[in-house]
This record gives sequence, structure tokens and C-alpha cells, in this order.
Amino acid sequence: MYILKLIGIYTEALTFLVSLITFYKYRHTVLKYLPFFLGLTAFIEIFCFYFYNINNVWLFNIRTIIEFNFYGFIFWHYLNRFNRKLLLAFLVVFNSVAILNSALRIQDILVEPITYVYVLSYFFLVLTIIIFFNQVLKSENSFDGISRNLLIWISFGLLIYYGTCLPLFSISNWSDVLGDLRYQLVGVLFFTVEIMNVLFIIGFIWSKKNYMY
Amino acid sequence: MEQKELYVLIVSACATVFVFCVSLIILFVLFQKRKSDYRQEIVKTRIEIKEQTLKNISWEIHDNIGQILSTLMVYNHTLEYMTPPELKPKILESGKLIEKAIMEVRALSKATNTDYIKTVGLLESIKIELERFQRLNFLEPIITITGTPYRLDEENELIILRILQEFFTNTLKHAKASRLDVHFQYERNKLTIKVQDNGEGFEGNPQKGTGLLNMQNRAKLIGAFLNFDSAPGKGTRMELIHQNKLPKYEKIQNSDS
Repeated sequence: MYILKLIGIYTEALTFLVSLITFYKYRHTVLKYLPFFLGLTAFIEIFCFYFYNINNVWLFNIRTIIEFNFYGFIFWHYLNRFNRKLLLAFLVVFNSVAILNSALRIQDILVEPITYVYVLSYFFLVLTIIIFFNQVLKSENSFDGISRNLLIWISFGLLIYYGTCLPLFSISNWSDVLGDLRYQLVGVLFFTVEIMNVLFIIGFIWSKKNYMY
Repeated sequence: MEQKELYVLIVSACATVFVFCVSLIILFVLFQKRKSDYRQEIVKTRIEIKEQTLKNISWEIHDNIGQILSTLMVYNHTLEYMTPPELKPKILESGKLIEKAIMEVRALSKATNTDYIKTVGLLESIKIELERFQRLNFLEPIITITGTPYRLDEENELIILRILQEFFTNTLKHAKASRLDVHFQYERNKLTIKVQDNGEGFEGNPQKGTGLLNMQNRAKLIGAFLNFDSAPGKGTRMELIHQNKLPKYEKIQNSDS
């Protein structure tokens, strides 16, 4: 399991590096902000793995809140008017729940995983990606354009990760609920992280400048 | 619920959602591919309809307008003998104009006739088209050839010709160019055609124009690579690369490079 976790963390770092190398392909699009977020994710994972591995849940809680807003911001630029309204509703509901969750002390953001916010963010992100796919299918883009488009590969990766991990993040206290079996679930988590990052890397390498939105 | 049961439940839920997401991605790719194939079919049908229309126009030009002009020529000759000497220069001049009109009508008929293009081939058709531009003083066309010319598949040649004709039309209509360079580079495994005008050029994404999009769709239909390069004041350049799938190729006599 340790190896799987290690591979997962370093795949994230590799994704960040590849995103920097291929930056010239998408620097004219809103995806130019992607390396910042990928870098932040890789940094948090490596930092927490080696130097800050106790009571670090607050860092992941904040990252999840930033994460959904960040991907919401990315998809906002590619969705049409109607779908933007849906995304706006998702963002409002998500941020309201995140604020209320902390304000009403339903779950303490500093000491425990904010599972309601996790589940909501993953669910909304999966919905946003399905909406985006629906929009692409209705558009005039040809197959070549789609397979060479970075955002499509990013969406594939996000869908696999956030979809698969949705049931995992509904558990607030892994050690109480699952005991030693929790380590095997961490394996599932890092397996999906690796798939997501491999899809990201394929996207960064395979995509073409001319086919960016 | 016991820990193990809960664990199995969560893993099953994860596996189910994973399968759902993968299926969703596969379905998305399949639908997208089908949409792309469907669009190609539409483009193909449009091209067929256009070719049939052009063929009909070509027949009309040749059989109808051409015949009328020939009859006019005969009348003109008759008039030449019957007319008083002071009017003869005018009759001779009108004879020359009718002769020129017949020539242009024939050239136009050839340029639009699919069967004729299939018979003479891409290179010859382009030469006829460029000669017509020169005769009409539209611009100064220059054609260069490297390698030994050969024939491609008839349909592919026709589609390449229509792409080039569309580029020429754009050059004449919008570019205000005085020179047009056409270069054919024949290699064993590929044919590269580079066309460059010295017109006004344009700014922005060239892929977005309808005419250029049509050209891209046509090129895609025969698996050719098409690229445009243009900037204001620097003219427009188009490069078409056709990969030859058949190793057997037929040499044609015209190899002036």
C-alpha cells in the first residue's frame, strides 16, 4: 500500500512537471492556470507525506474547497449560457454548504474531514463534467479535435477520480468505521489518483495547440 | 454493520461508479466518433451533389452557350464578306471577341467538368485554370514542379482540385493579389502542394472561416493534411500534403520542373 501511495504522490509531481513542459500548448487558454493548481496539489501531498503527516486534515479540507471552485472557474469558460447557470447554482450551493458547515460547527474544518462538503463537491463536479460532455456532443467539433483537446482529457481524469472516490469520501472517520481495512481503501484512492494523473499526462502530451478551445 | 461488510459495500460502490464513469467515457468517445463519421458522410454527399451540378453547368456551357457562340462566329464570317469595306475592321474585331469568348467558355467548361478533370488529371487541370487566370489578366500565376509527376486516385485528385480552386477563388475575390505561386512536390510516398499569394492576407484564426472550413473538411475526407498561414500584408500560404497509400503510381509525360 505504501508503494501505491508513493507512486500516486510522485505521479502527481510528474503531472505538474509535464504540465510545465507542455505549457506553450495551452498558455493562450484559461487552462494556463492548471499548473498552479497541479503544483499546489503535488506540493501538499509531498509535504504532508514527508514532513506534516499528523493532524493535516485541515489542509486537505481547504484544498477541496479551492479545488471545486478552481475547476468550476475552468469549466465556466467552456460552458454555454444555460449550462453556466447550472454551474453557478452548483457553486453557490457548494460554497454555502462549506461556509455553513464551518459556521454551525457541524464538522470542524480544522480537525476532521468535512465529508458533506467533499461529497457535494465530487457530486457537483461529476455533474458538471457530464453537462460539459453533453455540450461537446451537441457541438460541431470533429473527433480529431476532441481527442487532441486537453480539456477533454482533463475531464476524463476528473470523472474517473471524483466519480470513483465519491463513496470513499462519505466516510468521516476511517479508523472507527473500518479499522485496519482502511489501508486497503487508501489503495483504491491512490489507484484512481494514478489513473487520473496518467490521463492528465496523456492529455498534456497528446493535445495540440490548434485544437485547444 | 460489521467493518468487513461495510468495507465490501464501499469497495463495491466505488467499483460500480468506476465502471459507470469508464462506460460514460467510452460512450462519449463512440458518440463523438459516430458524429464525426456522420458529418463526413454529409460532406461527401454535398461534394457529390456539387460535382453533379458543376457537371450539368459544364454541359450547358459547352452544348448551349458554346453552340450559340459558334453559330455567331459563322454569321460573323458571312457578314465579313457581305459588309462594306469601311465596316470590315469592326466585324473583324467582333470576330476576335467571339473567338475569345468561345475559348473562355471552353476553358470554363473544362474546369467545371468532372469527367474532363478525371481524364486529364490534377496537374493539367490546374495548368488550364492558371492559364485562364493569366489570359484574363487576373494575376500572374507561376507553377513549379519538383519530382516526377504521377496520377493519384481520381476522386482524390478531384477533391484536391476543388480545394485549390476554392483557394484561387478566395485569392481572386478577397486577397487583391497580383501573383500566385503554385508548387507541386512529387515524392514517392507523398504529394505536397504549396500555394502562396501576395495579397492582403488576414488576421485571426484561419480555421474559423466557412470556406476554409469546407477546405479542411474536404482534405479530411481524403486523409490529407491542410495548413494555412496568413498575416495582414504578407499574403496567404496554403500547404496540402497527401500521403500516397498506393505504391503503384502512374507517371505522366508532363515533367517540366
